[in-house]
Amino acid sequence: MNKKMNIARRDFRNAMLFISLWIIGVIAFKLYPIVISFYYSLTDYSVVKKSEFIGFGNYNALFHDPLFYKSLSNTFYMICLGTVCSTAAAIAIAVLLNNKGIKGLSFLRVVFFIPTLVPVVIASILWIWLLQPDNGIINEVLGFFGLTGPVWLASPLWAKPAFILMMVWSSGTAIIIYLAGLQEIPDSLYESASIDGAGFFRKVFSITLPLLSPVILFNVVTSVIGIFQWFAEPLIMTNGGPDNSTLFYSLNLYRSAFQYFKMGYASAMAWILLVIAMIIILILFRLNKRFGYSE
Amino acid sequence: MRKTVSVLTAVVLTTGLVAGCSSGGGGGSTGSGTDTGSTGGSGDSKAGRTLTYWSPFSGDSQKWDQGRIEAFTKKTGIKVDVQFIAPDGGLSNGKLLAAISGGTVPDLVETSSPSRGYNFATEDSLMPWDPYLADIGFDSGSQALPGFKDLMKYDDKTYLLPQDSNVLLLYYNVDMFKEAGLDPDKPPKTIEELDQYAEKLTKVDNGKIERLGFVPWVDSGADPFTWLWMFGSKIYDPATKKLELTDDKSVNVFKWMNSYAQKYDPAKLKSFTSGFGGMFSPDHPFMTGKIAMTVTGNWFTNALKIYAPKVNYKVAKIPVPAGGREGGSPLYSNVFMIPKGAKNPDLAAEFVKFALTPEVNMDNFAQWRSIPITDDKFDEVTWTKEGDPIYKIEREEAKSENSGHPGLSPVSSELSDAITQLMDNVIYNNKDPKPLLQALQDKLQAEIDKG
Repeated sequence: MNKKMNIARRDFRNAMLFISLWIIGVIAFKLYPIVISFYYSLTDYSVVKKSEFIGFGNYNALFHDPLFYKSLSNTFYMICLGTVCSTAAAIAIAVLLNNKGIKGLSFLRVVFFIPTLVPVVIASILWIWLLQPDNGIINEVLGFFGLTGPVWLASPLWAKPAFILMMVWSSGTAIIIYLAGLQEIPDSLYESASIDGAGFFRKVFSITLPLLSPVILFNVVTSVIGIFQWFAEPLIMTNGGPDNSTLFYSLNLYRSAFQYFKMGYASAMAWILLVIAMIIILILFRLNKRFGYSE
Repeated sequence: MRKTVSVLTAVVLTTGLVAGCSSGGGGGSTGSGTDTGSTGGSGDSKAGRTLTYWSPFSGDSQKWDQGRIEAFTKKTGIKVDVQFIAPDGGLSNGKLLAAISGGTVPDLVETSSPSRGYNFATEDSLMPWDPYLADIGFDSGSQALPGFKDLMKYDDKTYLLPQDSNVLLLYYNVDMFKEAGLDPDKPPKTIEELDQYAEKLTKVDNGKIERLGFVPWVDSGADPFTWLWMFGSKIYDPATKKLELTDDKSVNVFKWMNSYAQKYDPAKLKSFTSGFGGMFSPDHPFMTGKIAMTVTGNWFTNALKIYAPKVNYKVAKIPVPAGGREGGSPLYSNVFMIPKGAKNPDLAAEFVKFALTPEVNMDNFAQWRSIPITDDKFDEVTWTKEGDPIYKIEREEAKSENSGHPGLSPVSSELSDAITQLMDNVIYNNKDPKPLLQALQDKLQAEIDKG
């Protein structure tokens, strides 16, 4: 017994030694910045000048800043509408791509995955062109059906939906993960449902979606985190405009930190973001526990 | 045995990494330390030492700067380690801030965004040029045109040293003027005239805009301070350290802009203007005939020459309302600065001394029609010698007491973003600008007062 304990302790110590590099890395480059950012959130700090402790002054100022609420509401808009749209589209496409009856299936799977390989800056510039009100391809297509397309990125009302379109276009990674999840669902379930007379939709809602729920949870959580970090596209495509309609949380944080010399204020924003993200993800886990499928 | 081996391996790996990190970091500092030390010890000779320089240029301008650097090294023997960081030398993307806080600063930064540069000065992040001014050939900036003095000085020290500058002009299409029954030799001088001309030049067919006479927020009109400056707003008073955004002059800017938005429907106008190509593309609305008049910088003359040589145009001074800054212009300068902690400010001064010689700047003036910062240097520019009419107007604007760098304040960057946002808010939502300006002023004044 004693010898066993010794072996276990020795193995543990050796394991710790082997991962010590990683531990040093995490402490130096993750933990320390996280802890110090909380300290800075309690100070007036411009990076260059010495920081000055002001308690919860930054948090207080944030709760009175209309831009903070604007950027938060823009981000929530994207989380609510963007996540729902991109998740629905990704599942629908994955279900279609899981249909073995379709010809050229591998080619189609590649087609849907390709957009995720396009670098962000290039994709952003491409979408600026696609969304041009006068001669962009999206409005041309809408025009073909007799519809007058909106001015997209130039309109406070349509700029965010334009970003959602782009988000759906680039959801190839989620599609692949859904596809893998779908292939895990045994055919026998569908077969027995068919024998019981279930149609396509009945099968989707009673078999596919419940069994896919852990995968959906994973994708939704990563998507929510991704939206909180949504930065490069709005910076390149709209720079927060028009009328602040695409001023998302990260963009607002970046401006405060690196353009206005308000590092303390930005740190406070980052901490609020962390708390909000944690709450949302906790809610998602609860929802999954209540409505999702678990073995 | 197994235990000893695994413990040893782990220890070696760990210490290897730590040593690697420290020797990497230390190596860097030792390297530069030796560099500075050895040259410092070698007396006053600067040859052989290395200047680290961040340049804001890209494209053709980058090639031009590269040529300038090579000529500098050839002449002085000083090596230049250059990084091209568009669009403004690392000021707006946080690079310079990170470098200053990390202690690995370049010796010299040039930026095309003087207001952001000014912000670095107010944040105590720059070193003053004053000890080097005499050597550079600058007597505390006293030779500089009046419009540059506010820019160069903060707290009685010179932090920003302009290389060259640009002015804004009203470009107008001569053929369209004739077609609308307007005299191309009598461009609009006041805002009222500008509005009347714009109306006459605008073509709307069945509710669809075919051509716009003028839109205040196209090209340089979209810059947050352009019209505030031209309407005569003080924006910020460095003497009292107060923002002055709520007077009638400031309020009228946004009311005037909104009159265009309301006349043509903001969404339609935005749709028409948002399809426009950039300044240096044949899609620019002035080149394609979608717009008859626009306010933009002297660089546009070269763009027109390249992309739309057939457009028949003239230029004039920017129209202003009564009480506005008549005959003046906002100045768009490229400025040099030394970040705090720079190890070789003397080399930076040497480079600037070289860069300000007329022969170096001449290419710049010839190609982009940019302007020198002292009046006497105008005489040496080819355009002046050739009697170019556009350059004559540029010189008059540059000399004007009404020209300057707008919006220089301890909150320049935030103010400029906030004014752009306010402009959008007024145009899209048909809001009264006065309370918005008051709220903005209160918010930013509190930050200035905090110091």
